[in-house]
Amino acid sequence: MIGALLLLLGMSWAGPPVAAPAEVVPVVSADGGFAVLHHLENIGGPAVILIHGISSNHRFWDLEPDRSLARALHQAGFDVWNMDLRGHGDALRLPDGKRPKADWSVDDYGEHDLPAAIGLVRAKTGLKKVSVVGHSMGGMVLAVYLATFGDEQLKSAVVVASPLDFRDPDWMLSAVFHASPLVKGLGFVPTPAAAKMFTVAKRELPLQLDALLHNPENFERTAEGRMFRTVVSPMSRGEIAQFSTLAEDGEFRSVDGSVRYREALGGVRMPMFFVAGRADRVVSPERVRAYYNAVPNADRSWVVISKANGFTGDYGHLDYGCADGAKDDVFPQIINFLKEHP
Amino acid sequence: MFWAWMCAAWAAPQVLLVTTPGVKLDAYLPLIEAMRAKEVRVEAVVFPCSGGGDDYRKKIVSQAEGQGWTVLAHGLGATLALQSGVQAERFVLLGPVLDVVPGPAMQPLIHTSITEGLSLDTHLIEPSLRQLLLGDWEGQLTCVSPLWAKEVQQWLRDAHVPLKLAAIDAPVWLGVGLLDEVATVEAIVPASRSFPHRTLVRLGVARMDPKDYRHFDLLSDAIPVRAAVHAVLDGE
Repeated sequence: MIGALLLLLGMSWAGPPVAAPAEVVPVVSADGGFAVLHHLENIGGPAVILIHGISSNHRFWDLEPDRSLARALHQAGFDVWNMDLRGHGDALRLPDGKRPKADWSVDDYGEHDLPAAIGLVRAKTGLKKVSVVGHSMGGMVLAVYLATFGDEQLKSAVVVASPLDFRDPDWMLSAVFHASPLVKGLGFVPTPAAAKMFTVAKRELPLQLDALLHNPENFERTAEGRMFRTVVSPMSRGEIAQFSTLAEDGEFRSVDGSVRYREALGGVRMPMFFVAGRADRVVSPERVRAYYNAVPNADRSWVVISKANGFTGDYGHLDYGCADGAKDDVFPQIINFLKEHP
Repeated sequence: MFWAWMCAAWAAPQVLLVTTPGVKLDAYLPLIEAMRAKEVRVEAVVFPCSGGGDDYRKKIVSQAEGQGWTVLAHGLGATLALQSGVQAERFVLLGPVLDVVPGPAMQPLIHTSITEGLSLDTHLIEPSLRQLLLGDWEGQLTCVSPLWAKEVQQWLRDAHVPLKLAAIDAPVWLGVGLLDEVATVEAIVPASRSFPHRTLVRLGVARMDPKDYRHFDLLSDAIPVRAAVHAVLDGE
């Protein structure tokens, strides 16, 4: 049984390559961290940096040609920079082939990786300001950046299913937060192998574990399997350590505990667009709304992707970039917002 | 002494079930039957198709007079109960409308014209949106007072429900559904933090329930009903 499972895992594949390959641009941050930007060039177009979520990579925003915010933005005239944060996707290993030591945190992404990426994009394009789109932890990375550097170099931002707090956790989240110290000793948590199990046993798993991450109703099964095989990267123990502090009171804080990010964004004034999903069981809409409320001086707008609101489905956590209807439900919302705030 | 203890042990709570104007009592039958099975005495507050919110709130208070009630309510019935100032020993609320975060789904309700002879079953919103907002609830809706409907419409327009939650001293148990488009989690959960004594239960898949719940699923599905009955009995 176990052998069969391993065989199936070993046979899994990443699916067809995406259309026109992006230029791979390495980003080395001030602390020596190594990230990667996948550049879809539109000379003179407004620049947008896409950031993936926890345990994910740039393929979340570029799963395949028909499920690709990166390519939809590129077609709409944007100069697109789709990011792999350190330790993810094409930045899983350092240029010398070694795995980096897994001690970095979400703070490191926001204080080092994102500023380095913004600096690189500004230098390459000559633009003064860029836009950022962050999914889940990607939006938390943006919050760290904003709390540290402010919004001077940003034109606008889209926050997709990102929380700044996990107050009032449900049973499952509580269990995850309390169990997280147990895996801190691992270095990397092998989430890609777990995700591949979803592709083998999905919809037959007890407790509907896969349905916690996405809404299966919104996926054709082949694409669902491809998503689980492709968009998952390992988690580092540093990230887990920072997330495990959420068990205390649900607040997303800096590693040293000195900054409560929900209370550090009052100075943000740029346009921001918040996207939540009605069936998002990881970051339920009130957590995204709390982020919205944390930027009272920004030019804010908000949408919940749900059937009742006129979309094709009630969106789960991984649906925004990869669901069958994302190109009609989510991408136009983001593109229109970015166009309306040039 | 022994008999006093026996009486206390066997005395189930008395439940005042506050219905929602425009919703038939039949809709509450799963809840009522589940409570009766536990020998809980249930008295329902049912509203006529005339009058306004003030009349309804007075009716709740007057019907609750002189008893130590656990107030059980759903949706806008819960809103009325909390607004009424009823002296409850405990509130058990399913999908209570504590606040409003505006969204496209609410627009038809905000802009619809409210007239005499209003029935939730045939007016206000077209059936497909009603199904998405409320869930499978065919035949459970009835006439509603235009005065009351206008009051609710104003809450939607203002994106604000007039409630003083911090002043509610009694313990409050809330069951919420992720797919609820009437009492949305983005509105309820933050607002509920104002209750001084609150227990919030997120019913649904993240609690290992078989599904997530829409607004009326909270009244009709066995799991939310069981959770509410458990919350009623837990107050003993």
